[in-house]
Amino acid sequence: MHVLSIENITKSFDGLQVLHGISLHVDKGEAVAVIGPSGSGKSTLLRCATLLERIDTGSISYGGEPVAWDAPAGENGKAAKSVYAGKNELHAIRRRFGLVFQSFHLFPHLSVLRNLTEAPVRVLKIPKERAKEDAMRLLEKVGLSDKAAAYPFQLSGGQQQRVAIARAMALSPEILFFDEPTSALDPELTGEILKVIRTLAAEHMTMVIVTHEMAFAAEVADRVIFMDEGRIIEQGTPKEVLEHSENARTKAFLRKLSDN
Amino acid sequence: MQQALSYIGSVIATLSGGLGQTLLLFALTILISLPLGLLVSLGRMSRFAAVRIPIKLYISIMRGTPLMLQLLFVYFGPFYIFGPQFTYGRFTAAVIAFGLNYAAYFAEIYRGGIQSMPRGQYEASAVLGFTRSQTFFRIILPQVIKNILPATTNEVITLVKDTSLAQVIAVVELFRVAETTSSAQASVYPLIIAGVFYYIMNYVVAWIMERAEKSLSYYSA
Repeated sequence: MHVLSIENITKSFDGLQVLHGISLHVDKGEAVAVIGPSGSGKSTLLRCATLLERIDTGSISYGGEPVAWDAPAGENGKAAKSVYAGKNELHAIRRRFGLVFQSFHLFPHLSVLRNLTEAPVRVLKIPKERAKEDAMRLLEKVGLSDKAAAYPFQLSGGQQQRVAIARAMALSPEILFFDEPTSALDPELTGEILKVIRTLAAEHMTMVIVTHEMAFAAEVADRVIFMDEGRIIEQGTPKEVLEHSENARTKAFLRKLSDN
Repeated sequence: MQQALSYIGSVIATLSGGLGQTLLLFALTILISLPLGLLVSLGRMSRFAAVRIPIKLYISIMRGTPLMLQLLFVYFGPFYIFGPQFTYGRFTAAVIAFGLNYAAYFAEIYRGGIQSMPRGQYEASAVLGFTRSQTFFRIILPQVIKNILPATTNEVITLVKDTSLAQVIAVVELFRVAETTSSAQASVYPLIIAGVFYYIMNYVVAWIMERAEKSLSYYSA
């Protein structure tokens, strides 16, 4: 059973098609890096997977629990919009994944500790004391246990992003998505995020990382997916895609990156 | 000197009678319009046109016509339209008119605050599994309150002074007492003392709101 199954999904914004039939299956313990030029649809793919956007057609499921599926074709033979599970089912499925945003989106009015405990306490109804203990353990893991009482504005960008990772982990998701986790950071701060992600990978956390940072893809990923213009162009081990790709578009993209 | 002091003392005593009504009108208006304004702002942002459009119209009328006219309308309107059995006290009419009027202004302040919240706060809440109401009351509203506090202070200070309009429907509040005392005694002191009363009330309002702002300054977005 895949942790995440995405089957042939499409998505358009105002008539502009951003995803052209993407399929993606992620297994337990796998770390997948999604790379590609900006506008290739990687972030939209992530937003569809995390229910922030609704797909047009195709299907999504988590551990066999359906999120959305293809509707029977309409009378005119045209594919109708995918059908989504009910509100309660979707609410339950949201617990299965976590998302780390490019610009963190921490709650500025809550302390670092409360940022981590609020969802476990309110959503999972975990007792406050236990949620606090869990949160402290997570903060230790990301090297910020001394910042529990601080507020997000008092932290550096790298620290904020580490809090955001811990916040996502606080709900013990089966799969963790990262949407360009270092793009909003100064280059010298990417190292600390990479370190955290490496730790998670060593613990076999299932992850999908959309990134511009080739170090992430090369070091952490079991599989690299190259996307361009709303399609998956190729995928394979980091070595296959990043070093020995035969694909002209992949090679052009990688060349451009190394030129910069 | 002695005489002047005892005169001023008697004016203060007289005005204090009206002060009670002013304070009560002020407090009831705040109590009604702050929560009502929040409801109105949510209705104003509703995705259902059947809710949104009437509320938009209500806000537009409340802001587009004089409060003095609204007071007269609320007090005399039902009487003229439905007949003499539809009548209520002057003070009640004033509370209704002020509550409705200020709710419209507060609604627009809330709306500005709510709409300026970054979308990321909603998205982070959604991904963490918060329900819509948890997101609103635990994540969005606390931040909105901090952001709208200065604009709210302005409105509350205006309300303190606006309570004097209630005298058009003969509510015996501070301003009316000051006015009648002034003309009865052919003296300017009642007006001056009333002015001092209003000033002190607003001084207190500003002080309280400043404290509130300070207590929310423990973080910045």
